[in-house]
Amino acid sequence: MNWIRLALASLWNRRTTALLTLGMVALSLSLLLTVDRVREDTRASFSNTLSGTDLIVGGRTGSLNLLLYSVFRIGNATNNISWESYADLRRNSAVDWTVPLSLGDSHRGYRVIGTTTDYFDHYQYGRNQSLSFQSGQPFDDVYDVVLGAEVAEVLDYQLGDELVVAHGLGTTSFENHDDKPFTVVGILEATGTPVDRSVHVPLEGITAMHVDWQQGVKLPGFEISADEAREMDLTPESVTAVLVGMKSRVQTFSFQRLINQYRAEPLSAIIPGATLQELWQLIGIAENALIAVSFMVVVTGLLGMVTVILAGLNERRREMAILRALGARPGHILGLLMLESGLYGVAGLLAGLLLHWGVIALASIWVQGTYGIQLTLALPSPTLLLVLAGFVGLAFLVGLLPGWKAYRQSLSDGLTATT
Amino acid sequence: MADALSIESLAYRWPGQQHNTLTIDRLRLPAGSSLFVRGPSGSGKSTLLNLLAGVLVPTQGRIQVLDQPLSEQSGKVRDRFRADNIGYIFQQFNLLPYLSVIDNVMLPCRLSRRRHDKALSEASSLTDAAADRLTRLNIPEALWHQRVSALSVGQQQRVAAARALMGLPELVIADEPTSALDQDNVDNFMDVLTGQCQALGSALVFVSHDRHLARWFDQELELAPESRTQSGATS
Ligand SMILES: Nc1ncnc2c1ncn2[C@@H]1O[C@H](COP(=O)(O)OP(=O)(O)O)[C@@H](O)[C@H]1O
Ligand SMILES: [Mg+2]
Repeated sequence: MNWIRLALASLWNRRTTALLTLGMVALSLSLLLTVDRVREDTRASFSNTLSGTDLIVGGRTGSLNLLLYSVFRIGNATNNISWESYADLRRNSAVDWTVPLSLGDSHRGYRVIGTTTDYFDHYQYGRNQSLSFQSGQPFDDVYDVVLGAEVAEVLDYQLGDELVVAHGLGTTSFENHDDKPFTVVGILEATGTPVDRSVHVPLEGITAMHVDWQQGVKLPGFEISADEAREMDLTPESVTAVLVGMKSRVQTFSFQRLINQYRAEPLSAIIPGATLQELWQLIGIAENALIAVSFMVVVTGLLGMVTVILAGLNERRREMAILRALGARPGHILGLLMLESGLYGVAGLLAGLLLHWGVIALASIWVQGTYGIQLTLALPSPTLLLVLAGFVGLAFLVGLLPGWKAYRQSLSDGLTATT
Repeated sequence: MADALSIESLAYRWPGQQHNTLTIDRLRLPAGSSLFVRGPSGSGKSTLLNLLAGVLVPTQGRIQVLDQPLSEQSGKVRDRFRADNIGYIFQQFNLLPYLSVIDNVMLPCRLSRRRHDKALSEASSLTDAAADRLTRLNIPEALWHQRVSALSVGQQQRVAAARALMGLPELVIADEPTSALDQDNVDNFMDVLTGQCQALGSALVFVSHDRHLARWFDQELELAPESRTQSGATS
């Protein structure tokens, strides 16, 4: 029939109220959609950051902490691994490969990672994807540097450019290793992981930068030039963490136990996937709270919508009487109001989706830059789609409330509504 | 052909009231003719029209509209009957403000298959049928696609009459449609309404407290105040 047209025309006639109501419904839904999207993308981003690594070894620390600083560049290491211990574990026959990581310096807010060329061979992300170069090659010289995609793009570095590393992790450090500049020899392809925001130098480069430093301060009057440093023994005293690949997955647990009971110094070894699960459990609490709040906001939106429809009924007695005179049954009047309520739901959902996508599109640049999380413009997850379908159904259903009132009203008014 | 209207020993009492609001012993209106129902305010005129339209059911007695014993039928059947056979004109505010003039006129054909088909049997489209009615009721074409609020009260009442006549209803019911009009407009409105009802063969039941309007009608019925005693129909 033409009831949809009538309902739409009637809503359009009250468009200020209708649009505000629609805005309320849309806003509440877009909150739910956005919270869920951020949750999904955060998880995906964390899960995609590292693959193919069986164990991460660091100084004795909490497993979550070790995972966060070694892989996600969040937080700081409290203990390091001595070079001897590292060499020892590398020699273990069960170990296939190792990638040592030395953290603690930065370049204009981006973290500097001292490592070996093994990093470019063995580091994997997503579904076992390896790193690849968009230009240049792995570092070779002590003072070579390989940039993550974002670093190169944001700071506009090309191959051959020189850069200076700052001591410490602050964005604006006053203490620079400016006597030992590094040359850009490679730029990595974007990965959507913290690698994009990393500055990679050889372990020897890290050592060289610090030969004339002690306890975090530069020794006055005791300067060693870049070239002099090159001639020295640049084997580091320690590294911050080590990524380990086993020859066989089966050996992971026994090797992990071995590391955790290592006698020469206290060490920790973690399985990245298992530790990530711990992280989810922790984050899950906060996530659930957010989702619960979003649901309540959606319910509030629905209640607000019903209130608006109910409040408008009295003014619409005349409209209902005209429809009754034209042969509309009281059931039609009830249906008309359910339809109106449902239309708010459907239109609110569409507007909410658009709003949500708009927010994601705008926020993604900033979120990517600040948190390294790639927000995606996509349809909601299947579970959420079900919830949304339920929402639309509910939007029609709550129309029963004003519908019932209008039904009673039109029965008692008959054709003689006075307003 | 069946009578437009026939009433026998009708009584209606609003729930919770002491006395019958309305009693009519006997009334008969032949198909296509017109009836003027007169009575002071509160005499039950609107109540009677609600009964004729099938929105209310009699407390006692029998109402037959066309060939339908309305007083014995379910609400659903009565609503359908009203949509199919009755054109209704209110005292004022007849039109949905959110539809254009011509969309308002086409509305009965959107809610009733029967009137839709009848409209199409006399015109090639609903728009043409509506245009015919608007022309008959002297609404200038420039106003057809206007918003309702652009029309004067007199024009609005004539548009309401045009709508009531869409799809050739057998019965047109009008509840004091002239009380908001000035005298010139009243005469004009009465001329076109009664003229077109006659031309299209629709019976007309018209209610007013204004006895001067009686001259436009075939029959007259007077409802007394607190209508406990009831005069019959005269012709
Ligand atoms: N919806 C209603 N509920 C209860 N009583 C009503 C209602 N409408 C009318 N009445 C009663 O019926 C009487 C006649 O009203 P009405 O038919 O509107 O008269 P008229 O149209 O002649 O002015 C009123 O005096 C009132 O007491
Ligand atoms: Mg009245």
